[in-house]
Amino acid sequence: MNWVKAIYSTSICFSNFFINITNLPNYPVGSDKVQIECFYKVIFKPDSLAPETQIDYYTLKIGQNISAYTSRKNAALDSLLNIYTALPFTQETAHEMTSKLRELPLPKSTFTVYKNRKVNNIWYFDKINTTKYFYEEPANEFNWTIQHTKAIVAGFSCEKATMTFAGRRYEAWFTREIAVSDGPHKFTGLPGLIVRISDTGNNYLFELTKVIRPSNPLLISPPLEANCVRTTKVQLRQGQRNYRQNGAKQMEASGAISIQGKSIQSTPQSTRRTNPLELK
Amino acid sequence: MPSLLSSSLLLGSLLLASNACAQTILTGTARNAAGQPLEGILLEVETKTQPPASAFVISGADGSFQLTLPPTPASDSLRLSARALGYAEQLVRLANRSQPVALTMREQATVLKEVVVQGAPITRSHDTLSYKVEAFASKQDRVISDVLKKMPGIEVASDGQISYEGRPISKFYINGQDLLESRYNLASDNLPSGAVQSVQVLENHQPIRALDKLIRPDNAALNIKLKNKITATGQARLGAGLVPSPLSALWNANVSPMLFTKKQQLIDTYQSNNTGQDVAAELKPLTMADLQQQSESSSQKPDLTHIVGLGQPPVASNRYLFNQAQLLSANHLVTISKEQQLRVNASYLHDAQTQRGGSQTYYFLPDNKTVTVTEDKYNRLYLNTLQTDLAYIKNIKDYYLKNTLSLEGRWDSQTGDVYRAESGTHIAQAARNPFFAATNRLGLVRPLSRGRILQISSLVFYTNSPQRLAVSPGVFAAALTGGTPYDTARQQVRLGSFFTSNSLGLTASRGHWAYSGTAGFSTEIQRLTSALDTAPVLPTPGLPLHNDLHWARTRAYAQPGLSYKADNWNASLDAPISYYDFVARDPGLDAGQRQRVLVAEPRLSLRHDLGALWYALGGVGLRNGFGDIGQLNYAYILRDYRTLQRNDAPLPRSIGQNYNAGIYFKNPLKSLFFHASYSFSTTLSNRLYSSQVDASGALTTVALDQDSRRISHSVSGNVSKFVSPWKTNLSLFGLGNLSRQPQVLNGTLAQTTSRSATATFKASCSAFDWGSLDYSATLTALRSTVEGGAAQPLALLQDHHASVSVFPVGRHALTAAADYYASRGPAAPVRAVFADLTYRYTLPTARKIDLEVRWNNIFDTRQYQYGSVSQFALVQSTYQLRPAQVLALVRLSL
Repeated sequence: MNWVKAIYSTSICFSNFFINITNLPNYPVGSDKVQIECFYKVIFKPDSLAPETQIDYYTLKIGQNISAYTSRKNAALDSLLNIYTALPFTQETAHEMTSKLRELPLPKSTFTVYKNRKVNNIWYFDKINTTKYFYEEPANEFNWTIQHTKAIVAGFSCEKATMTFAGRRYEAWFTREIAVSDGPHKFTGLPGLIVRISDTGNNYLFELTKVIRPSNPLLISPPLEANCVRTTKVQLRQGQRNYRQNGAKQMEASGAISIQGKSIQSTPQSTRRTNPLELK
Repeated sequence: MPSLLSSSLLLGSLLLASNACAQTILTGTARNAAGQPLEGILLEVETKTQPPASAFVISGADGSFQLTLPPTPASDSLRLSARALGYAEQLVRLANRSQPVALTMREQATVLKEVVVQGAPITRSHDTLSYKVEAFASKQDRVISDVLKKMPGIEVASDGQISYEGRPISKFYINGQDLLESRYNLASDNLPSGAVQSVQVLENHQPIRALDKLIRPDNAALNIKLKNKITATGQARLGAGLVPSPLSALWNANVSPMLFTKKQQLIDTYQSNNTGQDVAAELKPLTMADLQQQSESSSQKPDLTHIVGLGQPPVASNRYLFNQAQLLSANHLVTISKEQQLRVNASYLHDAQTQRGGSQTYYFLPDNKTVTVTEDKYNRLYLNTLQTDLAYIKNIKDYYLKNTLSLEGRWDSQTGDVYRAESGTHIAQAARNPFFAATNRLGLVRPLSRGRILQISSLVFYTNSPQRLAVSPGVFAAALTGGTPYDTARQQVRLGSFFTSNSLGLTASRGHWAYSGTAGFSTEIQRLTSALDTAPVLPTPGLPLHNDLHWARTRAYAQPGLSYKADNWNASLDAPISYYDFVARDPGLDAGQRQRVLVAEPRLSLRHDLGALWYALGGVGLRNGFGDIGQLNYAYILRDYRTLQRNDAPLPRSIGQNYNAGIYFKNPLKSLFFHASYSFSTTLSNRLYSSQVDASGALTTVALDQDSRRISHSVSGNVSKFVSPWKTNLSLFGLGNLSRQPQVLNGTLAQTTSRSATATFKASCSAFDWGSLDYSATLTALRSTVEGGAAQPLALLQDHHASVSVFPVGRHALTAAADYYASRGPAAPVRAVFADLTYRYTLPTARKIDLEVRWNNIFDTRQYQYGSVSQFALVQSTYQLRPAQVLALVRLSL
């Protein structure tokens, strides 16, 4: 009988071990019904030393537990897919979908930030070429100081809050009129929705442009974990930088592309500075 | 002071201690009216003081919460608020002490306020990104391609091909007009950047308006917007140089005027050089045609008879090309109305090329004998080509119509001298091979209801090529004149073709499935006439030397296609079914044949994604091959001075099976890529070739009516890694081939096997801002064996290339490159080293002027050797290269 016990206890040990391994890193599984959708306009300086700015449009979909922040095109694409997979697939819907796709603006970024209030975590998803990667961060790292300065911003009664994140100091205006603790990008943790947030150097400015309750039922569905690769923020940023600077050469070396049988020419290294939102 | 400080510290610590005791903790559970706990409720508590102290939490899964409030500033009462979407806000006033709180939330639809947008929103127009050229142009930039290189997302390859986000562009428009179609090098290399206002990237551009909302291509198009409504511009490049030994002069000129107005566009160019620059590259097509057309017949010039060439060595063409080229090209576009255009592209190319070199051909015969043929060659090629395309395009929402009429004339001639070391003989060859072609292409696209698309295409061409070859002294005397020596062998051969191909296609899709169907027919009518004579005229007993072959081929086909696309699977099946009718008849020789066959050529390909980083590809297919008129001649034709060929056998037919599989890994994050693939093919053919090689190396080939099977295996693999601290890319590529086929050689049936293996290593380092370093090495091993014959020596070839580019301050740029080459094997070992140096300086003047000095082939290496292997022969060719040369160039915009 003793050996039976021994096996039993070791199997418990093993199962505990595996449970620990699979449970520790969280993943935003399942899908969530969208309660409200917020639209943000982002004005940013691609080069910190040049005065030129660029504009991009993002959407923040907020569900009961999960929220998803992504470029308008990505989000619209997902919601289109959501709508059309629910509908019976006929020639008409296929045609309608293609024409809807056509009307979407194009994204400059491919990332999506998921926040889960239940486990208080942030997942940052992005792709390099066509491979999907993600990393996980705690959401309670924002050390907000509410300034008790009040103003009407974009028609909402707002209060000011400040904090420092990833090498930049931010000033946010949030409203209690929209009772969700969320905001653009990774920003969260205030007792209301962030209406406007910018860094003190004016490199990035996020402005709320529209809040709607979706007329069609929308779902937030994070990608399947099996199709994505877990990594860290440092590694993903390094990989993206390498790909930006040397992507064509890497692709050529991998044999994935060849340009008319010739080698891609060396050009002077790009001296253009980049100005990422997160400096660290 | 110290006492004050210490007392205040004491006070502070006392306060802190009392704070710790007096902080307020509120606990409770948020519930709805039915008493169920509510998750995600925002709970905030605040004191009545100015400024207030506050605390904020969100209720957990069981609705519970705990709020901790610091005791300062002191306040006797608290305000607790509970808020959530879909619930009315709850406000509770409480005394400032730790206590449990009961909260009941009442459901209420949240009214969302309209956001007041400050300032007008800046919208970017749909799929168009606009780059202001001035923002990217710098002083060094001359032509628009210099500026394009710097724009984010845009890349320009060394051959001029432009890519946006890694994909080649589909169109290069100037002011919205497609003047040059696929040959946009002419504009991107010659249009001064100063004339350009902005560059627009049209993402997912569909050039066919009728397909605009139906098919969104991945590729983008570029539109160059010019500053002025009427722009007259262009550039000029002039260069002069010399070759020290033997002393000769070099020139290089390029003048390209351009005119752009609302109603018409014009780009003309005149280019001339003798520096080894291939001007024909300017006319190279860089994009695909808008519509692809099926054609199993080629309107290219046929190779019926020719002098023995030298082939092209695998080095850059400017190393071995001895040319004297002139190119004149005129491109004119007229806008008839908004949707209709007429376009003329005409070019004339004249080139006189000389080639010097030699080759050693080893024939490995089954009786353990090796016949060696050593040839020293001196060839002169004269090329004169006139090409004209006349296109009419109507591109509207309802349909797309394009008709292109192309006329081509070539007046080519070749002369060649061969010295045969074994026999000590000189052979003179002279060939004339003109060619004329008229082609008409018509394409129509019409979208139907519900996303279906109808495509009609039609192709008609007529070509004629009368060719002649004269060889002195007369060759194949044993076969032709019964051994009597004679002066000259004269071969005349002419091929005339008429071909038409017409098809109708329909595509549709439903869910994961896409369907396509094409039906069409084609007809080819050809006539091959030839005559082989001797001079002086001698009796040629027995051998048939005159062809008059009438050939007709008709094909009717239906091609259904089906593809399925799911999350992890992609599968597509194509199953063309064709009915062929072949008629070949030579009334003079009373020979002929007819074949009618129905064949199916299904092909299945699969892709399966294995997680995020791996995927596998596989395919299987059946292919039917039929010979063409080039493989059928009942009488002998002298193809070159040592190849006398007759194909008196049933029409070649082959049935091939192909299998391929591969596995791919890509992790761009770690910059690690890997793939390995294997393919196998087996082909059964109804012909067996019998070759007779005599002691002098003369080759006579006849086709026998006998089945033969060719099998071939191929394995390849590639691994690459980017080492980020050194900004260095490393890659290793390997390829192995094995093929076996039977061959009758000097009357003996033998299996011939050829093996080849190649390994390539590349490294590219750009760790420094001021320069970059590239290195590549290739090792190739070749071996060919004939069953029963002696083991042949292995031929080993090595190639090394290294280059350094330095961009020091401001206006200077310096590039140094070196190549090393070595071979050993059946022939004597050979080593060669090349080096080049290029220096560019930009004048600090208002008008953009560049000076460039190129010193090519610094070590004055005159020869390059290259080996190639076939079933029973190994050829080692030696090419004469351009000697050391120095060229100075000046470039200015007009």
